[in-house]
Amino acid sequence: MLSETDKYLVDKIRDGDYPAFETLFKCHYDSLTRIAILYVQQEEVAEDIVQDLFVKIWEDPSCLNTNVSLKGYLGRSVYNSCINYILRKQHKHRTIDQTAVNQLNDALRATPEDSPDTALLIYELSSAIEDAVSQLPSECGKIFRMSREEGLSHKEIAKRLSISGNTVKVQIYRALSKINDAISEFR
Amino acid sequence: MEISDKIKEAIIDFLEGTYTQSQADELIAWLNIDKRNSEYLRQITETWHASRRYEKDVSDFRRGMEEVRAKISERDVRKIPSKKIRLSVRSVWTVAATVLVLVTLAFAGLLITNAKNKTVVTGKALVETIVPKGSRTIVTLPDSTTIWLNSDTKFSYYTDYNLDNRTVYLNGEAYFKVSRNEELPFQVVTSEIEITALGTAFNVKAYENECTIETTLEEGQVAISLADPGKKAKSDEQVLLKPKQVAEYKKQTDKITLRMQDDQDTRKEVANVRKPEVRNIPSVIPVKISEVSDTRPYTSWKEKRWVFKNEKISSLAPKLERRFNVTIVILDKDLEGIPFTGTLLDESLEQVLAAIKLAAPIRYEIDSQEVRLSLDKNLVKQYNKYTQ
Repeated sequence: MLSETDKYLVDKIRDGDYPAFETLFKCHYDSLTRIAILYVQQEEVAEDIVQDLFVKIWEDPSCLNTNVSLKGYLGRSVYNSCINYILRKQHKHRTIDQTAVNQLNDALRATPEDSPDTALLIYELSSAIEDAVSQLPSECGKIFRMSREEGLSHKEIAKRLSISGNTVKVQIYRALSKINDAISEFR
Repeated sequence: MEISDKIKEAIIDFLEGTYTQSQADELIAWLNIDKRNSEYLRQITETWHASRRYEKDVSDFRRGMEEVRAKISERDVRKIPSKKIRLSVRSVWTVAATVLVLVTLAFAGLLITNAKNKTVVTGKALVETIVPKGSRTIVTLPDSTTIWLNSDTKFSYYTDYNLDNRTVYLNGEAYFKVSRNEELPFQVVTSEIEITALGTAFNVKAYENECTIETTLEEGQVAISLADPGKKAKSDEQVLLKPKQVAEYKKQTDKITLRMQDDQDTRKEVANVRKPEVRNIPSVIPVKISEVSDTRPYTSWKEKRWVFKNEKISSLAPKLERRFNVTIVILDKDLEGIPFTGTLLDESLEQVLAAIKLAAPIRYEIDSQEVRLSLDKNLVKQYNKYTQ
């Protein structure tokens, strides 16, 4: 459900109140751009994705008639756009056929109903994620940090540590799975 | 959930974007086994991205907003109300107004019944703005029409506004700056009269507890007709107003009670009743039209500079009551007729009363929500000296 304040804003936007629309934009632009950047890793692309979402909202405010919180809805929309962007980009650069890309996109697409009303967005959980990372077994944690914090590919990590690429991948998977469990209570 | 190493590797390659077509096929096959696998992959994907480290400055909200504005204008799917109005709204209105907005989700049909007493369900919703005493606010409608609402005012319209009508309902005082639209006349409905306009600027004062409804025209043209829904061809009988004219309608439509009233000096009475030239049946709209040299005393309540010209204390008091949410008690009958001329800036009640005291022989006492005004006998002598 929308909160009273959100409902008030949404009603105003539907009535053509542009300042109300700007208020909504101002409230969410920075946090949504931060979410998008985690996925697309380019500020310009991230800003574009968030801006396009707001253009859509202005043109059709009825999309905000959601049964989750406004924040949850906006977060999910940005997530979906980012996944779409990443997969399309991969499709362009790699030889993955369109059907497979579409199927993966569908599997990853989140509907607002996926998140209960009270759930925090995963992006608000950075400290919980850090805690979980610090509790990983040392080798696993080291590999995960090289991947996520230094941005190295599994191949580069394998080379530096003189281990096989598959070992690196399994360790990263293990780390993700453990972090996922650790933060599951917040979702 | 048991997941094979092959799938785990495929997932990591997928996340890194280095996966192959055969890995994509394996992933899809795995996703198809169990619906929960999709949910799991989505969570892993979120965790993967969320655990990335990325330093970023605070986004430039203003630049973002400008870019959004440009995109909206370029696509031209839904227009942005003109910027000029938006800015003027902000600059004029610096006083924060507390407004209670109620969106009545009741269907219009529940509120309006037709002649046969059957409920007409139209699916329209009523949008109502209630401005309490002590507050004022501005409303912008979908067609960019801007409306200033004075204290103690109820204003509403239906959600189909600007689709096949531009009708609004007023109980209180409002100043209208109407966007031009020849096809859809703008209509203000009050308890007893309706004011119709195309594109224009005018003020309507229609408080429930006052015996007149006052319409002041600043620009353009408006027509006043009776708002009796039972009356046929009500549009035939109308009074046209020209700029700088004030129409005072006396409530109780069954009688033409044109009271000769002791008016403000600046008003010059031009006609008691006006009607379209083609009609020879006398109009039954009890309205008195006066010409004024300055409309500010009627419209400046919405500005920072609130202008009064020979306004009697008896008529000033209710305005102050609404503005400051107080009760004003006039202890001396003689005080009521004393005229006040002056400009009140955005001031507190105490400052306003002090300002009035400079121009009129009053004494005031403020006791929480009540103000008592009495005649200051000593001051009367002094004022008489000046005025003689």
